[in-house]
Amino acid sequence: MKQVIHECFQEVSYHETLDNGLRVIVFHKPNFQTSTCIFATPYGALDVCQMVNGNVVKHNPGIAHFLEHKLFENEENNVFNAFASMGCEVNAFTSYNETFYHFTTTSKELEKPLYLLLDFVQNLVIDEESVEKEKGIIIQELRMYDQNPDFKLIKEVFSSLFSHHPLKYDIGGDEESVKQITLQELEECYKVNYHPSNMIVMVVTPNDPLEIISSIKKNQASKVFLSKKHIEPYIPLEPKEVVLKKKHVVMDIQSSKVALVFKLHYKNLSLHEKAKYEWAIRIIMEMHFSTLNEEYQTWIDEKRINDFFGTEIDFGKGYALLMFFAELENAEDFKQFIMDELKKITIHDRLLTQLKNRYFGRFYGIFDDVEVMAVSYLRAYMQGVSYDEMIDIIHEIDIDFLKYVLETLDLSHYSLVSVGKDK
Amino acid sequence: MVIKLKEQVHLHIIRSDKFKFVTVSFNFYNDLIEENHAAKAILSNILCDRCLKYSTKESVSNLKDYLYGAKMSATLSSYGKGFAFHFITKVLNGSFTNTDNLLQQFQMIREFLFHPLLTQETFLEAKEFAINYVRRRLDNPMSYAVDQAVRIMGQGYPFAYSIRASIDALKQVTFEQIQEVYQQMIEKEALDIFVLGDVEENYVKETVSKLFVLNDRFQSIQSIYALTKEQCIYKEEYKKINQSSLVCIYDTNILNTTEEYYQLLVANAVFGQFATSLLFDEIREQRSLCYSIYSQVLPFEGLVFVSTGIDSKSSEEVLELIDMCYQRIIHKEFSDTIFENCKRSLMNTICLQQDDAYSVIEFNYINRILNKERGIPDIIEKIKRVTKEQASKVFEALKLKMVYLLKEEDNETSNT
Repeated sequence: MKQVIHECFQEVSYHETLDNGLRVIVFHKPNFQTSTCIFATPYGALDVCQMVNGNVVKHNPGIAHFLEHKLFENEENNVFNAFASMGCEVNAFTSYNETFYHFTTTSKELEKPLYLLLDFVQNLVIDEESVEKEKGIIIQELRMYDQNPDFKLIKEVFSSLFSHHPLKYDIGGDEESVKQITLQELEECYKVNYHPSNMIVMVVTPNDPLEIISSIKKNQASKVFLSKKHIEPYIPLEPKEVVLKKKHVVMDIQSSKVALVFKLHYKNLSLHEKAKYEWAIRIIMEMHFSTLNEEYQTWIDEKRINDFFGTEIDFGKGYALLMFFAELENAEDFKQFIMDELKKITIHDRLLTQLKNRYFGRFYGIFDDVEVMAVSYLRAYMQGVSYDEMIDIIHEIDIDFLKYVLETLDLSHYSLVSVGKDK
Repeated sequence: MVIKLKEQVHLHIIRSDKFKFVTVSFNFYNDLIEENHAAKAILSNILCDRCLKYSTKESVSNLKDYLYGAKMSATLSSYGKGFAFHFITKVLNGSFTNTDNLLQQFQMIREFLFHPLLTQETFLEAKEFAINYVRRRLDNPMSYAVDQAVRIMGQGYPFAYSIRASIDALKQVTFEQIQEVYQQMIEKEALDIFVLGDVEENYVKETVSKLFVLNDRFQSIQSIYALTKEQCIYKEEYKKINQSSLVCIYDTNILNTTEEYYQLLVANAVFGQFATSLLFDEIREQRSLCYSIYSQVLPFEGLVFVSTGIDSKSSEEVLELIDMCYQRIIHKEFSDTIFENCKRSLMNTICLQQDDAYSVIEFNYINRILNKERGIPDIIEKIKRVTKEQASKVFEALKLKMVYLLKEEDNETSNT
């Protein structure tokens, strides 16, 4: 067991890898009443295609999300009721990169709910009837997101950018792919991706961290697992070009939304370098496309942007993108505006120091909310760059690096996507 | 610690060393009137955007970044017939930076709240953004359905404007009205200042007294009113969407000032608040008719609110099932296990508030509005004591008053 003192955040965590490979992280928050426990697998919506023991295995889009729904089924009892009986609130979510199962409680008794979390996630009990029944629920979930204009815009952006990369699929798949998912497919994915050596338990609690680790050890020692399979993500080669340069999707909404998204290409970067580039582009864009720029007010006054305007930078598994979005009727005008402004970007020393101050404060803020802290910390950790490393990376970024990143930023591949009334 | 600074002006200092940030909230209280709600929605945008001293967006960003990404927001909440304007700031505790951030936080509040930049320019921009916000909300079918149900059912009562002001009301607000509403708020509305974090009480008290010139106020704090609707209203509307949104509202006549309120909370927990509740089990888990369904108690109106997204073909079946779940509660047709589990979930939800800065302040503010000294342990005790019989009995008083369905548009396009 290793104790880690996060000097920067004035926090302490405890790390242990168990004999079966399961990694455990416990953050001690003695002044809080709430405990949050997460059991996570790095299996997400992007993993529709994987290399398993050297063979390429393909599945229906939405499979990781479907599996998340089905794990809540337990032959002995209802998982929701079992957690509720211990005063715990349980839930789960699937993202592009991972699936998290978690509970939150103010009860001091943590061992029983922790065992329940470990036990239900490590025991898939499903049958064909229950799989078919779940399809109706998932289709309603997909429809709910599909009629939300913000989700719709993002979904259309990804499908316009990528021809092969699985980001082109929605996290939950689509109605057709959900209908095609079978019991056998779910069981196969479960066996491969829920081995303890792939997974992590993260606990944020006022309780004794050593007792928590000891409880988890005891639980895992009593279980037998199938042999581990070697998994590698299989992301098909993606061309530099986008699928569609322009797309408009009709929706019955009052405020049309538009996104100009650049498909970026950075090859052979380490995780550390990738994070550094991502932060550098974020800083560059914030210097110019935010209220730090004195021109921002003019852009609002001239209706080039409105209060919805923003930028998003995302470097993920096998992709990188830079997005600008706003609520405007004329997508072409927006594109021209962004293109013109991109040419005007300059790097300011003062703003770099200022933004570092801002990010430093933001990182601190995360530790004020137990659930947010657990989810954000674990996500960063699973993506290979911890919060502590992230702070170091931000400190490392200097004016020369920003200038280099700006000079080498290739913005030649982009899509202009809008949602709104029929044109 | 609560200190009376002036008539209807109180300083609440809640010391807690768990948070790295210090949260300060200035809460102003008035009656809920639509024109007022519209004007304050615009005012909230103006006050957070710029002020006389920091008169550009750029200078405001510089100030916030100097204070390590300080946050400043203004939000509006309704409490029955009452309505509050919350001006909230969050700044990193100076112990992490070896600077007196608290003093600068109060100075920042003074500049933005007491020396605003009220000009035609800031007014027009804030008005436009307030309208954009409402349009954006209405573009989401579920939010649209909730807003419509509340508006229709609440017609003639403050409840109708409890979520937001209408676009029409926002459009009608004038610059002169904003100036008037601002002066009224700053000088006459009951004010409660909350300071939450690792702070020294005497220092906070001295700093507030030194920096803010506050006068007596005579605006009373009232929240209770009777919302009576004789008939149940059924309303269907159509939109080009792919999922119907269903909202049902029940009247209970039980307000959060009564002892029965805790029985209502427990009955609602069994009905639909959690994944262990009857609605979730019957409609989602047993029949796969929806992804999300929940019920909630509106404490100041004495209403129970149900919301779900479904296929329009199953709307009648879902309505029957909602009624069936309601009937099961009044006939006590649910197990002791479900009852106890829902009570535990409810108690856990209430206890979780202690670790969230905004919830801690909100909890204390509601106590102030209700003129009560409730602590979380008191509430937990009351919930523990609720029996199955009491939960069942309290639900007998429920009367369905609103059914609103936003349906997928097909050949029928006329709204009924």
